Amino acid sequence: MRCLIPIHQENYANNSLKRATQLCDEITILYILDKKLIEKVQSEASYILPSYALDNVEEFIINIHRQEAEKIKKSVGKESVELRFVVGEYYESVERETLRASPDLLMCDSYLRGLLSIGTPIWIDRGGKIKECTLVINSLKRIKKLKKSVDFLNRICERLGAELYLYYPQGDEEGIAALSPLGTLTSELRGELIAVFREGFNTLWKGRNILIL
Amino acid sequence: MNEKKLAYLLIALLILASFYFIPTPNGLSYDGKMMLGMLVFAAFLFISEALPLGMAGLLVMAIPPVLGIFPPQEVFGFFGNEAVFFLIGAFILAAGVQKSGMHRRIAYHLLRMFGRSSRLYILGILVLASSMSFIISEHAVVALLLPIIGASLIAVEKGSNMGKAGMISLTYGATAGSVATLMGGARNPYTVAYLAENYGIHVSFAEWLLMALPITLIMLPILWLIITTLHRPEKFVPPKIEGMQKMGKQEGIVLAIILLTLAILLTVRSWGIAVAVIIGAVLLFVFNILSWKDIERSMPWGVILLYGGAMTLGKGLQITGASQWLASSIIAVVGENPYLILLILLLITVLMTETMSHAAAVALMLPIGAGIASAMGMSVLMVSMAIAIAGGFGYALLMGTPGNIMTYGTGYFRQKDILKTGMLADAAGIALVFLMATVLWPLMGVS
Repeated sequence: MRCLIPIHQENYANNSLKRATQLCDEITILYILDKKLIEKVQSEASYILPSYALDNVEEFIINIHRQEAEKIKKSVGKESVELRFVVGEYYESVERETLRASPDLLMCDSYLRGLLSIGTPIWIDRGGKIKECTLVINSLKRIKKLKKSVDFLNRICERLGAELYLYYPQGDEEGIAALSPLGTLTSELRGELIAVFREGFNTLWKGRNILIL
Repeated sequence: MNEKKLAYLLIALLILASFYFIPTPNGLSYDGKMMLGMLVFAAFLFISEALPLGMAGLLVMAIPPVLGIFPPQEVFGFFGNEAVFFLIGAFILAAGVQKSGMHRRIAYHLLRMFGRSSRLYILGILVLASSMSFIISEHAVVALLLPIIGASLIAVEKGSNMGKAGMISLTYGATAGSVATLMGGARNPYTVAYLAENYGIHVSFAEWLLMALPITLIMLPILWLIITTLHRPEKFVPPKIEGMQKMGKQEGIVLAIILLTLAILLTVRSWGIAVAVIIGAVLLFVFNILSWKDIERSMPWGVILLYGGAMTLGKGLQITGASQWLASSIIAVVGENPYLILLILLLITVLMTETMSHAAAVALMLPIGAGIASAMGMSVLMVSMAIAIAGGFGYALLMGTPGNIMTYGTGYFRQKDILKTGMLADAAGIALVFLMATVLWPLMGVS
């Protein structure tokens, strides 16, 4: 399994980095130094700072973030970690890297609405051990996609040593009959990880471990 | 120029045009009405940053002749002031300090002295940044010290309290120190020039120091307490800094020139504020410390041109009677309690300086504050100094001062960290300036 972990100075991903070592075979760390930050330093300071001082500051800021990115890579302690350092806009950089590396999972520690437009499954990691996972199924219209997603989740749960449950809020008999062969059904949300298709995502779950499919 | 900025510029021009068409209020002349329009126009330009600040300053100088408020000779004459030459000289002196590496020696000694515990180290950074801001512009101090403090914190985890406290104390120290002398920030000499040009009040380098230095000295321990309480630093062993070599000839010469300049500034009142720094700047050439290329690289023209716009606004509002009219209108709404008025002025100044450059905020607030003081029989000097000093704050927002955004850029702290620390620091700063203005300065005979 391949995962992409974007890191930004306002959005560190300590939980995701820890989880990824257990979950993923290949990890790409995308360290993003916000281009807007550099531009902001330029626009705020250029009128008052001599050019030599401004150049030094920019160079220093880029260097210190490069060092930080290397430090994070080392801290993961896995050989299959690729580090990408970019100076750019956050969402744009994530999107570009997703297209390049085609990861199976995009992992971060906090909910960022802008990531929803990227097609890759998004894991929002709040930390802690995961023993049970519930997949919320709101519709049975795309049963093929559903089966694929259940397979994907089974792989994840296997790696985590967790149990997968399927939660079908409608609860009609026909639906239950269709879902029974796919896994164990539950009548409530249970466990530490909620998996949900993006159209059924509820922002009230933001504080929990979420996998948006 | 991008579309957003172009739109902002058009809005600013529309604001100015609307003043042309609205009827002139009673007690105000056409010129006064248009100068008020210029004030709102400039405030919009400074906040929106539709144009680089220096360019906005130039535009503010160019418009009054177009509107027929002042002839061009008069408006550009506002720029010819000793404070401009003081600024130029001060930037050249700062370039000399930077080139000689004197700042590294000061940092080395001070950080070694304070390196016994993490809390003391934070105090050391505050003292270092503030003391350097006595002779160099606060923003340049942050730029010069950033690599030094950054290197000393290199082993500290991002997001740790020590990292947060270290970087925040660098920008806060520079900000706190910048109010103490005329060299700390462009707004200080601007205030001196404004008072001299418009009210005939002459403030010497020593008098400014006497009034403002206590604020820095009291503010430093307050900032230290706020920073180390909100971000209690973890145990920290500062890395061993390589021993400095003996002071070189160049450094010795620069030190002597700086001391000589300060001595003249402090003792020879009749020379004003510009002569001494120009002598210092020339001496840096005489002793081959700086070349003309160094000067070209070290002159931030933006702030000098912004100063021109500020002087045009200040002088224009005063001459046309707009500042008096605005002052009496504000008094009619707020009432005549001088303490309340001072407090409101300080609050507005700090709010403004959080959203625009310090010099711009002071340029906008000084004519209003001094006008109110004059109309109410309060001390113009006291109110102007209070505004100038409060205009140097800007602890809470990243755009409050370039130092905040530069230190934030290192990634050691997040926006919310500086916001909560800065709100307390701003409140403490306002309270302190208020107390100084109402208790200590009157005791010192400021009237």
